Amino acid sequence: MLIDLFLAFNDCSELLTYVSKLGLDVAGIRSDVLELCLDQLPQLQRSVAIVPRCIHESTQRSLLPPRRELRRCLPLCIPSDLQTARSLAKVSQSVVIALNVETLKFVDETQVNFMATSKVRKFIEVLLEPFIELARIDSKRMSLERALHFVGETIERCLKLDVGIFVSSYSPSIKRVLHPIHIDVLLQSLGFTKRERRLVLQVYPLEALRSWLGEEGWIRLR
Amino acid sequence: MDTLTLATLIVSVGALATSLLSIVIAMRTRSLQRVERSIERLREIAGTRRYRRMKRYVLLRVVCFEDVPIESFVKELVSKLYNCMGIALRARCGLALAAYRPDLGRAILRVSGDPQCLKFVLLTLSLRHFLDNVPCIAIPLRTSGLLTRLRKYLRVYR
Repeated sequence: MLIDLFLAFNDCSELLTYVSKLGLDVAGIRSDVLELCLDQLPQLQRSVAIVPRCIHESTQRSLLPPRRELRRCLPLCIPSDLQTARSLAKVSQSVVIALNVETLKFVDETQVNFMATSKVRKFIEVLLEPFIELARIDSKRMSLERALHFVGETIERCLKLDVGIFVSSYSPSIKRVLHPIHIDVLLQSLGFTKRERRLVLQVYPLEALRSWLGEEGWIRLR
Repeated sequence: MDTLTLATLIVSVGALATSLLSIVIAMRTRSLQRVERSIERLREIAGTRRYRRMKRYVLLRVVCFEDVPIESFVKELVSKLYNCMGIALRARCGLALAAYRPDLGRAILRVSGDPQCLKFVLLTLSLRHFLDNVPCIAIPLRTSGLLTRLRKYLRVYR
């Protein structure tokens, strides 16, 4: 099963091309783009589960997305600072916390330790494309190798403590897309076993979906 | 001397012999390890190759966007991969296009060299399109040591 829970496409035709040519089973896309695609989606020849996604910039003032947004799409919370990230780890509600280049400093092993103590299941979503972009730009702050090392450490900690973590491509266009098999190869090069890769690429994303659809944390809001 | 004392004596002598034997075996093993280490050092000094040259075949699925012909992309794939891998890996890993079917969008790539090469080539295949801006992606589907096992996926049954 090929799952990519966040494709950051802006164009509906790109989603259709990607899904039809590369055969995803579950694809996540921003809810505003999905609304534009509703007429074209029946053209797809194969059955695909499309998940509406939305991004919430979490701050201390607005930690979680509003309720109506929770029902409409699977939210991804991007913490703005360390304090917000720690607060998100402790809320009594299922949340998906983003791990990208900006949040790498505070969504780390310590954050995973906090999340493991929470009673409600929480997830970390690794947005991979911004990390791969580091290979193209000469950043003095962070190298690709260093960034991937930290991501690997965080994933390893999550797997050890059974905190949900999954990797999404977050590709902005079809030219820079990362297929789930490519992500699998990348995880293999980081040293993860086949079982661990199945957990990250198949088991935890489906668990996050099941959780959002109302079996665990979000059901309390309905 | 009664029977019980004799039996105890025999058991204790047996235990002593076993312990002596185990000490001798341990010492021999250590000396063997030492010999192995010295052979390793000699190999390092002589500069002989310690790795086995391996050969693997990778089945690829090639998908192109924006009307780029698959055939031209597949023909240039090896040179594109070499460019991405850099000269250091190029010296250690060999790449060749073994077979391809543009109508099916499939190709078989031969990887030879160091056992780590396959890992590097798969990683390069996965990230290549980020660097060279060609709107085609190659997805590795299967890896095998035998070309005949992968040829059936190209629907070549000869």
